[in-house]
Amino acid sequence: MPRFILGLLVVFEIGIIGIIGIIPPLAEAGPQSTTYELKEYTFGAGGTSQAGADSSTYTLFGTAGELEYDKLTSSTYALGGGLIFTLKANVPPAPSFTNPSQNYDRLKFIIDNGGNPSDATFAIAISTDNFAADTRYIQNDNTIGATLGSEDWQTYANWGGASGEYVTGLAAGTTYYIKVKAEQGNFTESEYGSVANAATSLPSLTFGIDSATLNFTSLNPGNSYTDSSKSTILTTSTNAYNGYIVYGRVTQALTFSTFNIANYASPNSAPSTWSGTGFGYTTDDASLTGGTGNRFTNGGPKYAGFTTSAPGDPVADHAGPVLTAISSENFTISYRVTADQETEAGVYTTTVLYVVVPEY
Amino acid sequence: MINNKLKIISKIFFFLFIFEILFLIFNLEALAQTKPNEIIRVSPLIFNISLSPGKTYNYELTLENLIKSPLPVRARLENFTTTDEEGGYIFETTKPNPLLSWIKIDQTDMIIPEKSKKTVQIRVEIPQKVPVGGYYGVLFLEPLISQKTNNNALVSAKIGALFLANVGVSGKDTKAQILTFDLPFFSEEKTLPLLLRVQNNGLNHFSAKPTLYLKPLFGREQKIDIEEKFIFPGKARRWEENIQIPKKWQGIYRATIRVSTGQGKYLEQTSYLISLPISKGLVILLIISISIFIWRKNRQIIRAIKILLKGKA
Repeated sequence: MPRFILGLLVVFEIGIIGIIGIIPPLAEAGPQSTTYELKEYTFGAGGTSQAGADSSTYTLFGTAGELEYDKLTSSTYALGGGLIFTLKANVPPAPSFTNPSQNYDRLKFIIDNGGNPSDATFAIAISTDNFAADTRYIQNDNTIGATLGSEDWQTYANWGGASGEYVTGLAAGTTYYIKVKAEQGNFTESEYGSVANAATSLPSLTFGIDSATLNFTSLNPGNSYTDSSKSTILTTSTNAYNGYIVYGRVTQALTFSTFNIANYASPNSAPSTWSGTGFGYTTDDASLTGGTGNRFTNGGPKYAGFTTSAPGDPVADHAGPVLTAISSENFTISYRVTADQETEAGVYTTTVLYVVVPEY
Repeated sequence: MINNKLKIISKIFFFLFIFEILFLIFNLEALAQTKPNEIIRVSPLIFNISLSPGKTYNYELTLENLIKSPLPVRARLENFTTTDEEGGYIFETTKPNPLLSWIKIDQTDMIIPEKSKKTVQIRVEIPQKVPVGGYYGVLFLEPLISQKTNNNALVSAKIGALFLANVGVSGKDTKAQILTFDLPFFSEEKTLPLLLRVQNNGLNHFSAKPTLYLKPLFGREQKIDIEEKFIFPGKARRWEENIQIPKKWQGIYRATIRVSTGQGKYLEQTSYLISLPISKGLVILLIISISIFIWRKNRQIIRAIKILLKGKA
């Protein structure tokens, strides 16, 4: 019996010790709801213990010191204090800001997330005077706007990640400055990071032809009244974003006195394999605007006749977007003239005009 | 011994011959690629400008002579309008264009010394009272290359520099609408034909920048940038693109086209599309059906094969 009582007492004591261990002392409990408990809420020097008051989901930040009235700052860095500073997103370093393709209306930026988590969002300010009087913002469509809306805060991935994106609608020949700030939720907006700058180029176009004259071989029965050996090489360089187009036309048909050799009958939109007589041309541009792209090259050279009305017909082009400047691009316009034995003998002349304009 | 030496010498000559042929071919190709034909460089090529009534603006145009002799150049302003949708030009010389009378060029005929640049001063004076809106012109720069007589044809070339001026209107006044946003509702191809048409209902021109967002039911949204184009007042532009679709391309997608009109403003339209590789699916279904049939009728099949091979079960 005494052994039984002793056993009961031992069990009771163990139970009491267990209950005391489970229930925290009332004096140590902080303000709490059914979900949260504020574990530390005092003010003053000191802070949380090294272990921190945290769980797998939440962390209570503490401060190691009080906010100083005179923060340690330089033009690049600021040593902040206090809880707010601890909660702020990391200040993003200067972004990469370049003009890799000599563009005149766009510049490429790659922001640095500065070690912020993937759900942090970033806003980008842009200026033409290094933020003296002109401060605008890159909008979420990558154009520039006067106001910074909530939609213009985008994640690192949405700003193009490591590949970056282009800010568009810029003025040509102008230096732009950008800087980036970050936030991760309310009350966490960081200061702007360092400024980067880049300049837009001027849109330019270089054009040339290899010869200012054409001199066809004398047409006679020996060559079947045909010469198809003459050509003009058109050379173009440009950084125009939408590319360029070259129109060709003649002032008149090949004419001698009151006689002429008519322009070849097939139009530019539907060139054909040569048959019959006339003065025509073909181009080696296999992706030409104004119809099926390879209509002049598919299945051997196809010929069309020049028009006499301005601006002419497309004979060479380079469609946009041009993200890397076009350098000395050559297209060859080859001519063919075929007469017949009834064509009046004489020197037949005309003028071929090529006009190059930027596409828009 | 002599035969061996002859063999070695003949081998050396053979390799030399091959080397020379290759050298010749590559050099001819290189020569063909680098033939310099360029005569003149014009910069800037596009004056995309916002102007206000009653004000005067000054611009510079730089011409560079790239040949080794002096180059006479003629500058001439002309009117132009645009064709609808496809972005072509119509150079009209008869229709009056007030912009041409507002632009003053300090010299229209000039000689640029060899391998040098010349700057042309352009002054744009806008009268106090002008209708607001877009005004357009083209400045043609024509090099007058010396041309010998007694030829069948003279060939001449000129460059057009564009003046795109919005007078008294800003990007905030842009009015536009999406006329067509067409993607196939059902597709099993890796590329999608996109047709987009946008109409400018405002008084000013603007640069329209479309972006296509493809969002699957599950997974990340894909953003596809499409070429930016100018749209002139009252005109429409058309985009016909073949969109490369994601590798794992199956299921239902939401496709949203967002056309930026500048200053953070954009037009938006959404449609849905389904992508199912039907032909692949049918093959897989056929294989599964045959497998089930074999599994369920394996005894009969084995017996049939035995009868076929041995003539009895």
